[in-house]
Amino acid sequence: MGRILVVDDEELALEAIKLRLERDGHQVDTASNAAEAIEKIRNAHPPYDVVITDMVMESENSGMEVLKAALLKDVLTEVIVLTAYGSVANAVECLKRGAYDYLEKNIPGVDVYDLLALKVERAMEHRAESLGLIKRLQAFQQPVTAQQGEEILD
Amino acid sequence: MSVKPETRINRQENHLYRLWSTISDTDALLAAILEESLEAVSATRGTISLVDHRAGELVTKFVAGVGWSEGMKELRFKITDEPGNSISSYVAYTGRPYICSDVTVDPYYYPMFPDTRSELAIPLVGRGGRVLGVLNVESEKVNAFGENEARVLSALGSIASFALSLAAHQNREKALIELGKELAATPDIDALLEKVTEIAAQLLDADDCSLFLLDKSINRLILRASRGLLRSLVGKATYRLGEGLTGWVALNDKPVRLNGVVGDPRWKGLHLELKPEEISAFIAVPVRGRNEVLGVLRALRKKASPTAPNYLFSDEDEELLFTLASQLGAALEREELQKRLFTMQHIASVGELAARTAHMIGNKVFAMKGALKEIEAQLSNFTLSASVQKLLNSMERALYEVETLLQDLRDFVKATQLNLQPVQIVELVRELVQEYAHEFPYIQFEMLIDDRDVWVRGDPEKLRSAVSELLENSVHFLKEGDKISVRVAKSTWAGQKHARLIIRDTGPGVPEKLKEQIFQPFFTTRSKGMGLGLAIVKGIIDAHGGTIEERGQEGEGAMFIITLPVFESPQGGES
Repeated sequence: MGRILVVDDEELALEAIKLRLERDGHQVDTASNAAEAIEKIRNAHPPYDVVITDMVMESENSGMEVLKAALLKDVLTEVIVLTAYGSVANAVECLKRGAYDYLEKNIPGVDVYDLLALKVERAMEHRAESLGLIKRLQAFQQPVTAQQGEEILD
Repeated sequence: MSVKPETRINRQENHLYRLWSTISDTDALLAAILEESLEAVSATRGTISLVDHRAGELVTKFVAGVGWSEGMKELRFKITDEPGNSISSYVAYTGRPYICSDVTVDPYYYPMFPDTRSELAIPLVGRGGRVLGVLNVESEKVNAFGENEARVLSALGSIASFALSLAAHQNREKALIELGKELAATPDIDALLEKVTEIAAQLLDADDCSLFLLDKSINRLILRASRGLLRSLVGKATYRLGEGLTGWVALNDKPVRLNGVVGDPRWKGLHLELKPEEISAFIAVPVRGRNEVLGVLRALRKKASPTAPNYLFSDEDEELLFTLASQLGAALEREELQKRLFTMQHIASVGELAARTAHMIGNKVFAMKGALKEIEAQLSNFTLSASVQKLLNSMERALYEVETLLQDLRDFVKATQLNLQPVQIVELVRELVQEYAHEFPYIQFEMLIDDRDVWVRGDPEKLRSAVSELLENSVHFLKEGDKISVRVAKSTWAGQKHARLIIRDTGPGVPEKLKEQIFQPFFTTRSKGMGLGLAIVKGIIDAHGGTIEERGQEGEGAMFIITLPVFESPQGGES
């Protein structure tokens, strides 16, 4: 399954998400602040498939920094932003900048962990789709390029 | 051996101006003027009498010359042109100087001294031609006074008139300054309103004074302070805008001054300080704020006797009442502003604290939910006893409830952050009412629309949630067959248009003792929720520059009235 990085400054939340996703068979790393997360993203080989990050940690924009680092490493890494109350606007800003989705931590009556697991599945599918698309594009482009090259040589 | 009149006048006036500069005491000055008058026209004796406007009488205040006894001072004469009522009284009536060459053949003469043969009386005329008093001199010679003497006396009289006017003016000014101080020092608004009526009555020499303030939510003037008979009706007596004289003043933003009231077509006699036939004069001025009329201040004078002439309010009286009313208007707006400012700051600081707290609690709750889920997952292989399962379920439910509370708190904090745009309020309300009618078929819903096209500048989402909360609140207290009626109307006063939204139900209503509290945050009679519902509604309406009040009667149902400033639709007119 997927390689996932979970970033949250709430130790218990980090642990709960890790356990929930591991039950689905994912391989989960954790980071408890943006700096640690960015470090792990840079050193990851291969890059993480999905990064789940809290929006507000050290600063209002911690989530944004994590998003930036993840996309710099691999533009197809899917980032899911978690928000507690009052930071939905920031999360929406993250969507505009390439995050896959966001999730409110406190939706009364909704099992947010199941929802998160579902979103991770979707993100994995989305990433697989994107990767497939790129492969097909490359496969399609190579003969054309070769042919063009021959034409040029002619 | 006689001195030329002009020289004498000059000498006397110089003398008087010296007096004037040293004497600030009006009484002393008038006494001195009287002495000078006797000397200037070689009179035997003389009087200065002042008008008692209330009684319609002339009262002898100063006497000079020979032969006066105590009983002759403070004599009162009816102001009239009837014969035999004294020459002074006739002059007070006509407002013109009068030369009597021979008292024995004069119809107006009132005998007091056997040696009096001729008299000269000139009126003391104040602003607007109003007679304040009479300066009268007499001689034991027949034909003692001619045109020259009349001119001399008029000159002296004009100084007396000026002194009287000035004294009155200074008194009023002093009283106004005192009032200003008192207004600034009076801590609570009701005490202040009462003080204003008290001072107005005192300054205007009025017998009663009442203050009506406009209540926007019901579009009526409500009696807020009065001194006499109406006192027991404070908070109860009301006028619609335009109704009666008081309503007319508020609607037209113009003062009214009348002798009596009975003949005036605008007069309705709804709430009276005096019996109509007792009213000698009536005055009412608008209490103005910066942009609109806030209320009406009115004063009345009572007839001293059924036959007494009308004691009318003068131009000065009107100016004075206006000054009072504008001081009051400023004080009322200041009070309102401070209240708003305080509330806003209060909400802002509470809001910030609440937002931070909600965020932190939200994070912890999220973690706890995760841990709980994990426990459940790990225990799923075991058979749990019913009680353990119940405990787990309760914990989960409790966590969800905490999240609901947090959401309320967030809505409360966000109530004042508006995304403004033109909103067709009739449509917005209609949609909501339809939704509720669909959801609660056992309750009757009624929509009354006075005006189909009412626009306000507002945040549609916030307004929707405010109205929705009110409907929700009503529904909560209603049972089968009960009714909710929602009315949208436009109203105008003093050029300001307002949208009025009235939500009324046939439920139990709000108990009188709770009315003050229902809009306070954290007030609730329900077992669930944080009691922020109506506080959020009020926050939203306040942020729109509107008002919300509960005006129902306990036992007859609740009635919430919202007013919002109207936004003239870009299309204009009817849609």
